[in-house]
Amino acid sequence: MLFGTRSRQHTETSSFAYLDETQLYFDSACQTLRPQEVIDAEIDYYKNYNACGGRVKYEWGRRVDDAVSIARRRLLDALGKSANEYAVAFTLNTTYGINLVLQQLKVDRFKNIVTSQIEHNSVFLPTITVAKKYGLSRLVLERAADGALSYNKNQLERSVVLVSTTSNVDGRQCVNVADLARDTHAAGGLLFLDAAQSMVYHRSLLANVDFDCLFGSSHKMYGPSLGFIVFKKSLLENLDISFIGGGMVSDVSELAYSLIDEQGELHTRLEPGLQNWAGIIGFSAALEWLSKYRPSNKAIDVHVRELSQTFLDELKTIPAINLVNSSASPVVAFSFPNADAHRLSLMLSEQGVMARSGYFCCHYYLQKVLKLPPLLRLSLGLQNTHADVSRVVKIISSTLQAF
Amino acid sequence: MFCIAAFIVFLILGIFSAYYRGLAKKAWYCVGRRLTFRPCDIHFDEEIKGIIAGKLVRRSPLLARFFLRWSNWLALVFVGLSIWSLIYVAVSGLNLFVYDTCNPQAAESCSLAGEACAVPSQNLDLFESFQQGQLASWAARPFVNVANTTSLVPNRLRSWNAADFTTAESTYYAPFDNQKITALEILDPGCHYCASLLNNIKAADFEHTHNLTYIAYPIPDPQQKSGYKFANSYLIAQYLEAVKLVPPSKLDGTTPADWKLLETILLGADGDGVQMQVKFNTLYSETEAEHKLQEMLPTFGYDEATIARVTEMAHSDKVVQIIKEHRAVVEQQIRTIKIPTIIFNGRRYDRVISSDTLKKR
Repeated sequence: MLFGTRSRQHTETSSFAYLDETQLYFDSACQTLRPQEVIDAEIDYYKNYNACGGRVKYEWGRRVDDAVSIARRRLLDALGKSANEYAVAFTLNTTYGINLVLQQLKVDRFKNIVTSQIEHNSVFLPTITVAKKYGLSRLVLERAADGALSYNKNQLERSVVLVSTTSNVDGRQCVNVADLARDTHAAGGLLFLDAAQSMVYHRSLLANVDFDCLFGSSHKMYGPSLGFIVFKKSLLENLDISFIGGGMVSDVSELAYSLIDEQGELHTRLEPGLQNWAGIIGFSAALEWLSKYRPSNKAIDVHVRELSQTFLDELKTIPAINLVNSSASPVVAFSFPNADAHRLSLMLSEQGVMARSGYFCCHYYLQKVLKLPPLLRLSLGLQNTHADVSRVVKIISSTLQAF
Repeated sequence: MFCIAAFIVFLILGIFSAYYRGLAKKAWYCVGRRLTFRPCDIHFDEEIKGIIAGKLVRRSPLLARFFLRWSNWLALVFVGLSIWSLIYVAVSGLNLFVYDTCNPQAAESCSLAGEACAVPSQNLDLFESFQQGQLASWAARPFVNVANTTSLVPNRLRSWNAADFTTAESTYYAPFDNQKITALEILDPGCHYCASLLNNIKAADFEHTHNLTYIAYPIPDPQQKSGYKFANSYLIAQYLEAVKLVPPSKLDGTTPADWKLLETILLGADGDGVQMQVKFNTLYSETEAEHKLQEMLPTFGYDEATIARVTEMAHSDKVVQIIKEHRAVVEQQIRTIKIPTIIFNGRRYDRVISSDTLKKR
């Protein structure tokens, strides 16, 4: 029991049995909770084969290498991508991955860098720095109410396109991402996707999308704190690898070095130095858990869709609520006319409800474009139940009486 | 204002926990408006308000609502009270240093003060001030008191020489010796702490190691019928001074008769076992007290004729004048408000001091 002594009676599996049922965690968009299986996998690594990978010949190291290979394969399988075409590199988090790739991009053949209004700072800010650094034009495009990127094909000409596939504010999805991939490539560009919010509940959106690079975070997928980059091996031709160190080279002379160029080892180009082995192994366990977990005996996406709808319906019963969402989503943001969101969040916290307040690192869109006050955001996770949802709405309603 | 209130609270809690020291630091930054407001974040005072309101809303949303509506005013009151408390503590500390009591108006009420009989304040209370049309001086008094106390700080720090306050009438317990340091005790014959100090003096043999003298100072108290804190203190002082002026017809030993009389009153007991001091304070009328004093005098070598002279002298203008002069020394030069006060070895103690302290050279 890591976080409490009372079992969560309404949880139908033992994955979150350690949770204290008085604590209502509604910030899965920031970081998901870890199922017991993930925690166990990390502990198993620490206790039974706690060695580094990628460079040692002894047994523990070989076990690490095997486990990490499985993690890469599971991630590609989850996205339906072939190991012949794509590779997986692990990083610190999504933001780090985006910067790692963008800062090493050979920009000579590109004219624009394209992003959209609703982006998280992890996307919005690196596109600013790269545009300034390399003298690229930066286009900030609008997103339609359904989340589709509004563009014309000319805007994609020789462009590096970097957009999120699911918004961290209201769960809006880039529903035309497959078309975007096709059009970007047709215009001689590259498509980079921030899929951090898509990987659990909206992964089907990514099926058959021909992206060049996809960034995500294990810690938004019920895994440990870890980022990943799923990239086309051909992307490496467009990168000038300059962030470099241990585990990346096959030969070194006094003034030069040779990067590892084996097809199965190309992930090393984006993995300088020792990796977070325990995190990778835990992430592998999370991917396996996600493939098997059936909340309320339903597929994850079905369960979350139903829960999201219930949540939205119940929230709408609160008078004067200003919802940012236009439809049901596991991520819901809203405000109230007379209740400061930060204060409301603190007051909810005192009642066991963990929810975010502010602009969720989407300042530009929420503050400058929509001109909204700080918002309250509640995001559902697989530990949440219909009872949790009803309870949290009731707590919000009673708390609002204080304003 | 809320930041200031939070700073005060966390500063105090920070004494006990490092966690609160961190919060106190944040509150201090907030006070100085140096805390950066970030759109993703919240200002510190709002954070604290939110946490408190969150705790209240669990009990009653209306209570939380009241708090949120009035929190700034509540903080203002809290800060006001805190500042007032801080000033009060500072003034009390100053009083403790200067007068050896945190409350000069009622010295015995201060638990930090040393044992002593307080000289009651002569100040009028609010009602009396109102009656006498002196409300302005009543309102100004706290400031005047602080100013007076502050002006006495150098007095406390100075080197005290008992010989500076002895008078022509001063007598010494043992014959005066130029080789010994002079010690002066200001005492009220009715104050039981003076008896305690004399006990300690004798335990330390202080009366022989120093040239020990005294000033009898009946503590004035306008609230009492006699005009003095202890009913017969003034009468005893009269007799002490008279005895000094009229030597006994036959003196045993070297200790002056007035010292013997004083010692008997402070430390002696009557035939029924009751302490003399208690009897003088609580049982004897003025007439009975005088009769008792006259009864004692033969023990110190006075015959009938000299007793008559002592009696006459005790009620003379001369003695009245001597006591008046002594009172002026106590109130205007030494300026003590606690009895006993003893001065020796360059220091002054406004309290009963232990025999160990008295033994120190």
